[in-house]
This record gives sequence, structure tokens and C-alpha cells, in this order.
Amino acid sequence: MDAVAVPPTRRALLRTAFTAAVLAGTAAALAPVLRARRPRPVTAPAPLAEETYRGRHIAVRSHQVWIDGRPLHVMRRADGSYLSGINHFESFATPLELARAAVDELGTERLALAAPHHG
Amino acid sequence: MHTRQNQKNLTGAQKKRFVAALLELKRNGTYDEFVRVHDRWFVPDRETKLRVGHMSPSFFPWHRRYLLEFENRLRALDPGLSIPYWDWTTDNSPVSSLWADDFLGGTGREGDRRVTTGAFAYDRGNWTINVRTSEAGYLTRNLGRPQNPIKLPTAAELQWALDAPLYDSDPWDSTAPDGFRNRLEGWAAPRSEKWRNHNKVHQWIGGHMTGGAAPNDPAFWLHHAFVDLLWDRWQQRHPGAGYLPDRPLPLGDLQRGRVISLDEPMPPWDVTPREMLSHQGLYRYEA
Repeated sequence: MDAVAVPPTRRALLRTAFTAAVLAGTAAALAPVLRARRPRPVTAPAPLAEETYRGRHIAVRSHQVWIDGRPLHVMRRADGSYLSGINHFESFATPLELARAAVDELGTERLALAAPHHG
Repeated sequence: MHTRQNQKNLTGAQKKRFVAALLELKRNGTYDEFVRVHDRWFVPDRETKLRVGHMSPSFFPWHRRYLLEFENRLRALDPGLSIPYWDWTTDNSPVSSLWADDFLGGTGREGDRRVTTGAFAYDRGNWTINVRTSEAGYLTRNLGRPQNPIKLPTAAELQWALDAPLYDSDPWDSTAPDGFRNRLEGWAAPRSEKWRNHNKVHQWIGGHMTGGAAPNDPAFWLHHAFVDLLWDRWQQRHPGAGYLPDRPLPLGDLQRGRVISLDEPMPPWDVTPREMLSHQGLYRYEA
């Protein structure tokens, strides 16, 4: 599995939940130690939206977008609309529309693993 | 002083020399440095950082200086060269001579959008894409976006931008409600076709031209030479108007420190918009 590509599929989320359950068991044994520290807030991940568009897997969580498991560089305009590393000169109302536009522009090409960085 | 010609008037020999110089800049690494500079200074306007190249008043002076730097490198190789300009309101077809085998090459093939004709085709071995947003090591294009057709800006849409009496307006970003800069740069403030001039040309070419590493496509330079010429035309049409903002924004203005006023230095060169207002003595445009 790629170290950089982190496709947040449902399977991966389930795996995370399973790991958390196992850790919870371990935590029971360590409870006296942990109780001495400040309580850790449990935050649920934002809901994940997935779809297949023109044969490509799109995943959106909050403002983050993955295409076939690779992160799309997402940026915002002052009016709240979205731009990406693939679409710098046109903005879109939602991350999902942004992801579809990137797929349209990519054709059959995959995203780069590491995009160049901005200022 | 040299002359930037309309690309449609270049002779075969001039095209050959221009292409040869581009290939040499690519070979020695200079070209990719320029691609990185463009990408690095693209800052969208939701961020609170300084914006110099896009979504800001310094769109014109920043790109003027950027093109001058590039042109200097071309002319260091061949003093007879200059950046040609592409008037996309007239040469507005994917079969224009601009996209012929002897100049920029044509559109990308179906599927992976790979350019397969002309000197910048990957198989020729001289044009590998190193600053990548996609995995492609080859140049990509999608002229006219046939899957979802798009037209280049019309003469009327361009004229509407040139007619703007003000250079730019508060809040000096992609939502600026009026002004030549945003009308020409092309952020649809109210969403409509005429608000998309410069941006739409990037979209029409497609492939690398739609992304942050747009200068990977040599068409970038010809597009922006025309944008630079349009700044001249606006100045001639509105002799009493000038670059705005003409002084640093006051304390409390949300755009303070995020946009460049007339006498503030633009990175990465530390030149001011005032120094870029005219290119007299440096180059001229063929009528």
C-alpha cells in the first residue's frame, strides 16, 4: 500500500473503528495510568461522501477530496467557492463539483502523488 | 528595443528559432524554474497571505515582469527573439496555424490528452513535464474541450473589459465587482461568460494550462503576451485612469498586506507596479 495515498474508503473507516475497539480493550488494562492524565475527547470523523464518476473513485470529506485515493489540492476563493491544483482558473460551488471537474480535466490520467507547493 | 509580433505573422524560420530556444531552456533547467515560480505565487484569495500574481490588482504588472524575465532568457540564447502574442479573439480555432506541427503542436489525443504532434510531443524526447499536478510526464491539452465545448472569449467580451473606466475596485480580489483587472482576469463575480476572459483561455486550451503549472505549456507565454498588450490598450483608452490601489490600504482594511499598491514591491523581484506601468524602451507590440 502506498504510504502517501490514503483512500478513506468505508472499509478503511471500519478498520479504524475495529482498531479503536481493540485499543479500548488495551486501555481497560491501562485505565489507572490513563486516568491520571486529562481525558481525551473522542471526535467522530466528518461524514465521507463517495461516488464513482466516469470510472474514477471520488471521496469527499469536509473540504478534502481524493481521486482514486490520491489527494486533490483544494483551495478556496473569497466567495467560498473551490479551486484545485487541476482547476486553477475556474471555481466550483462544492468540493464534489470540484472533484468531478478535475476528473473531466484529467481524462484517464492519475493525480500526482505529491503536488507542487504554493507560496 | 525589440518587437513582440502577432504569432500569425511569424515566418517559418522565426517559429523554428523560437521553438529551438524553448527546447534549450527546457534542457538546461531554466524553463522548469519559471514553471515553479508561477505555481508558487498562485495564492487564492480566501487565504490571508499576500497575493501578487492572481486575484489581485498586480495581476498585470506581475505577469509583465514574469514575461520580461522569461524573454530575457530567450534573448540571451538568441538576441533576435521575443515572445509572440496570440490574439485569441481572431485565431480562435484548434486548427489555427498556432497549433500546427511547425509551431506549438496540436491538441491532446483522446483518453490521456497527450500532445503527440510538434516539438513538444513527449515522443520527440525534448519536453518532459517535471513540475507535475498529474502523473503525466507528457504535455497535455484538450483544445476547445470537445466533451463539454467551450469557446474562446469573443471580441465583444474583450471590449467590455477594455471599456471599464476603473482599473480595479475594492475588495481587490476575485470578487471585485468592477474594474478592468477583474473583467479581464476573468473571475465570474456575477457568473456570466463575459467575466471569464483570461481564465477562459486557460480552460479552452485544457490539460496543463488549467492548473497551477500552466506554463508547462509554451502556449502560456503567447496567451500572456496578449494579456500584456491588452493592458496597453486599456491604458490608451483611459488615459486619465491609473493603477489602483495607488497607496497602501489603511489599517483595518481586510486586504491590507494581501494586495500590492502602486509603490509596494512585488515578490519575487521587488519591483513595484509603477515600474511596470510602461514598457517603453524595452519592447513594443506589432500593431
